[in-house]
Amino acid sequence: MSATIETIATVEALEGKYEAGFITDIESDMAPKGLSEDIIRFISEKKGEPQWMLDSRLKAYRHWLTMPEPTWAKVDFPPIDYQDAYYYAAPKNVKKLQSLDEVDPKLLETYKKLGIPLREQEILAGVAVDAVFDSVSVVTTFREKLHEAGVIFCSISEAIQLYPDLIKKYMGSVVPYTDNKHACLNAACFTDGTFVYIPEGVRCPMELSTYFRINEAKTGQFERTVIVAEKGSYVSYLEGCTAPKRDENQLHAAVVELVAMDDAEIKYSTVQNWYPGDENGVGGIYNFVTKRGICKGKRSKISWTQVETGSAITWKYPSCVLLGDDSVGEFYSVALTNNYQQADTGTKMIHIGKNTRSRIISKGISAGKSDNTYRGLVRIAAKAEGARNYTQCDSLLIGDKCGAHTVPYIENRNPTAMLEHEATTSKISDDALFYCRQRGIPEEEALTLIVNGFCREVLQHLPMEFAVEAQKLVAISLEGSVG
Amino acid sequence: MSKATIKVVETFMPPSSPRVEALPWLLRGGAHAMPDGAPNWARALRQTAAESFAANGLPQPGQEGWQFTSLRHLEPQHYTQPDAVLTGNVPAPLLADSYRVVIVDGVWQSHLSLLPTGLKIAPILQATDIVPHAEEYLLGLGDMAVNPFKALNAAHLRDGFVLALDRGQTLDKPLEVLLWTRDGVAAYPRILYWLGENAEATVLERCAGEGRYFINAQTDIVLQQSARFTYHRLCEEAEKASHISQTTIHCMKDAHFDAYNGAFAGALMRQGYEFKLLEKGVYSSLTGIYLKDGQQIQDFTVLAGHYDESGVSAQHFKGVVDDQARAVFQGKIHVHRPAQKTDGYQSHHALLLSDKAEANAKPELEIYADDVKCSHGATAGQLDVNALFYLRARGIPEHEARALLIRSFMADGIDKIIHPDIRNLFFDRLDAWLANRGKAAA
Amino acid sequence: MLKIENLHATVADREVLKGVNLEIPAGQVHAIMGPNGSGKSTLSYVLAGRDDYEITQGKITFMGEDITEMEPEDRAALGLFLAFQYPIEIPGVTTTTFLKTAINAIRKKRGEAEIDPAAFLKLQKEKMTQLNMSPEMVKRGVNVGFSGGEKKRNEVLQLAMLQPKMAVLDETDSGLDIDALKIVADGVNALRGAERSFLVITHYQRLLDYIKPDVVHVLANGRITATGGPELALELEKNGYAAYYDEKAA
Repeated sequence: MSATIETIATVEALEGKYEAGFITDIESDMAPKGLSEDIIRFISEKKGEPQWMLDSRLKAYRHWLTMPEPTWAKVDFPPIDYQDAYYYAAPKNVKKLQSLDEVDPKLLETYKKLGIPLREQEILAGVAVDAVFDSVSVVTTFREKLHEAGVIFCSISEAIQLYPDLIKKYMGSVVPYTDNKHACLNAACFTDGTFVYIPEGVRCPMELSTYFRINEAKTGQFERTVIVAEKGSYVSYLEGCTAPKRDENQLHAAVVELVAMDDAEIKYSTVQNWYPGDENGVGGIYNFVTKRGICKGKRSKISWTQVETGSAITWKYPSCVLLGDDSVGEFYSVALTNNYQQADTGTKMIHIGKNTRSRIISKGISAGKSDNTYRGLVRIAAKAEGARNYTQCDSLLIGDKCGAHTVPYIENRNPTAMLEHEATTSKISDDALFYCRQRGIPEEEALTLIVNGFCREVLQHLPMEFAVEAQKLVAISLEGSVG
Repeated sequence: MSKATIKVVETFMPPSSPRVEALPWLLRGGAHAMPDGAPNWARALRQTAAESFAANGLPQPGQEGWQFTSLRHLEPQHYTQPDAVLTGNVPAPLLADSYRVVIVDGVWQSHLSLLPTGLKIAPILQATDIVPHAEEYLLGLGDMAVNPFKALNAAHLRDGFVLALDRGQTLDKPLEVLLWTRDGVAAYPRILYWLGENAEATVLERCAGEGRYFINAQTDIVLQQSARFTYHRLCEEAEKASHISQTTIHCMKDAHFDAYNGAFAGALMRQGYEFKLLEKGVYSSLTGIYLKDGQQIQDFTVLAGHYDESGVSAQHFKGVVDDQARAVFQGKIHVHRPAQKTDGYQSHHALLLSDKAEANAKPELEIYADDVKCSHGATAGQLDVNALFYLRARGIPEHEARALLIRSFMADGIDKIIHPDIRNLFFDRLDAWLANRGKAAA
Repeated sequence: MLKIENLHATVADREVLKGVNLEIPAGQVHAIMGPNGSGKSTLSYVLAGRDDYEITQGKITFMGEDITEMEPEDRAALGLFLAFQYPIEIPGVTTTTFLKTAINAIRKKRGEAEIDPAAFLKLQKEKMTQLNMSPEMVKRGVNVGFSGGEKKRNEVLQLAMLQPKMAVLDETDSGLDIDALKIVADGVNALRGAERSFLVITHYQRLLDYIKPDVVHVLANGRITATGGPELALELEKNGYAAYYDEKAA
């Protein structure tokens, strides 16, 4: 049975009250446009989910209908027509290209600049890969190694089937479906994502990035990620990729939940380079992400590192709830906007446990006609004796048509807490550019050199191989901003 | 594991306080008719403002700009606007050698004024007679929906004064303005200071009163080219008073403005400052100092708007919160596109002395010009335990040691005040507060 | 090697250079001395091609090419080096990265292959030892947190690494104590050779005790008002600049 026919059959098998347009619509290998309880049932059915999962999705959907759009961010876009989007496309229906020759040359040019190996380029661009492809065996080796260590690392769909108790316990425990409209949408119609479980005392034997890098060519529109680190465990996870990917979906609403028990540490790194729209601000991804971690255990630690260069609109605040005494939250961020991009990103550090510590380093770079906002919250609850926070937000403006904004909220209810916050906004000085050029470095290269220097404190928190790529990414994203 | 309920959602608003309804007295108090012969601009403003306030009411809980400051203290009281006739005494001036203006319950008491001859001063409703284009400033309240207290003040426009200095005119002594409010009163004074080119003045405004009252003041300061204005505001309101004020400073080319705002006592104090650096080369500074205890709420909300090149704005805030008091600092530097070579700085340092005290800060930058230097710094914390130990090791009793450290923390803010008598007044308030605290501790 | 003809230049609409003529043959060291505000630093910036300095008249020829309108990086690639009076700090970019970027950019422009990383590090280490620099310094952001003397030493390190044809030293002696001055001068002297020229700009004669010039010029009011041998510097030290204002140029 072909995938298309299968889809039709599945939909018809449901109580379906679809509009007449349905049959023609699905010629594009997707569930029909729009969102309804039927579509949610369809998604759940397609994934063969148990009843409780479907119930949970429907509950979220019904709540979603009642929720207002968050409006406090400094981003501007026309109202989203949720009925004009697709919420399910079977991944196997994605059209495979036969070779890199069919790929948009602009995309290939970028891959080349990033220094991405040819094989990976093929995967990223969605070229059909033959079965003997090296990395497949690499992936298998990874899986075996992880299995030996007792680490669960699988898609969230698999986890729902295989580890329902863990999923019931943790999914929605950090970001409930009632949290905000975007997260609620995700809870209703997430299509896939990742589940990671590190058992007590286990140090995950590899950076999960390594695996991800090769396997994650088809990141979904509504990803759901749950990472649980039991007592004394450690995991480093890298999401996304420096390479731009083909993606037709405008709205992305991912949810990531992290849970760290006593002495556990989770390091979560993101490189986000979704399509930002063209130089006139046409098109581009809306990236509305809810990411939150809870340091449940004593001395636990959650560290977010992000490099955000893509998307037309970024709305994202990876946060830490520091519940366990002596727990630590960190947020390192580079957000770069160019042309008509808008980014409103930052973090929240909620100090509840005693002697909790947090550190925020944010570097925002605005170029072109873009707007870049850091929005952060540091809240010290009354019982958070001895809590500490250090925040530093630096903004850099390139050109006089962009905007840089810093909106920190600092709330302290405990006298023993110490909070420090610093922020600066400046431009790249002509003196520094001239100095570099006098040494023979061309202007555009000098600019990226200085910008990368500005971001260094953050980039050095990325896994090594990505730090190098991220630097190149900064260079590519700044193209055309001088002159 | 802690059983604390955690409620974190993807928003930046704190859990909001219960809604305070638009209270009936707020508008009824404005029933005072305009005096006969009141100018049209005043009637029109009063009308628009009343409509705006009726439509929007008080700030909604969680409304951006108001989320930290509860207005509940305004609730139970039914304030009135009495007749302008003054009975009883008002406090003596603080400065020995000064000019004087007295406002009681929002109404200018010209018979109590002491002013140099030839100085242009008039009731606010006659502002247009002595200040060119005064309506521009009196009517230009911006978006009243965003700040309903501007609307509230304008809806009650009745009195206040306008002071105008001609080009090159210098006030040879400080002007001391007393804003005195009596029990049960809602006062809505409107003040306009207008300094012509190269004019120069020093003003001390003292806000005080007795009993439970509500003062909602709107002040505009207009500085023409190269004018210099040094503005002190000593707010020592009565314990149960609510003080909500808005001050807008309009600065022209090369104007120089320094402000020092001391906030002592008062149950609820919200002081809004808006700087408009409209032309090139303006220098502006604001130093805020506060000492709060009990259940007092102190809110400083400051917007520095840079509209043209080479402006400087510096805002420094220092304060101490004890008991269950709450301090709020909301600062914003907004650099508009043409305002290249802007230099903007804001800082807020709060000292929390009790485990129920609270300090909230929101230092914001909004920047659209690329050749600027803007920064802010904020800290909150307790007294340095090492320093405390050091002093105690030298034999100083703990409560004295604390007082010394608090004094040293606050002193560098107050030290910036140039006028020695005014500086001493601020220090007196600090010392009195510390002495009082020491007594309570003993 | 370098020829400046009737050079007029303005900064912020003010004419600072008012007809400078100067020729420096290969292998020679020329010194320019002059009082404050005579246009010494302007001359160095104009030679290096700074944007906000406008050449209103005249011509600069370097290595046989007219560089009057050339971009700064292209002048650098031709072999022109300017040691800054106030070196710039670049946070987050280590001196090593900075130098490697510069060397490779210049090589690329000349159509040469990138420098071998190992060879680069070896060369850098060698030069640093000569300049008595701590190895830690190149691992820090360029000039960030450096003392005045360290910054100047870092300039000479860059000079040694980039091996230019012509180096302009703008007040390299300012802010240096005598020991640092000797080290910097030794570094410069080690680079002297038949193929390399220097233009040493200084306010004081002191530096010229250590870097012996072949020719000394006096720059006053935007013009070269006197030219002579090393003895001219000594005379200036003794009698001051008063005698060299304008009348000789007029």
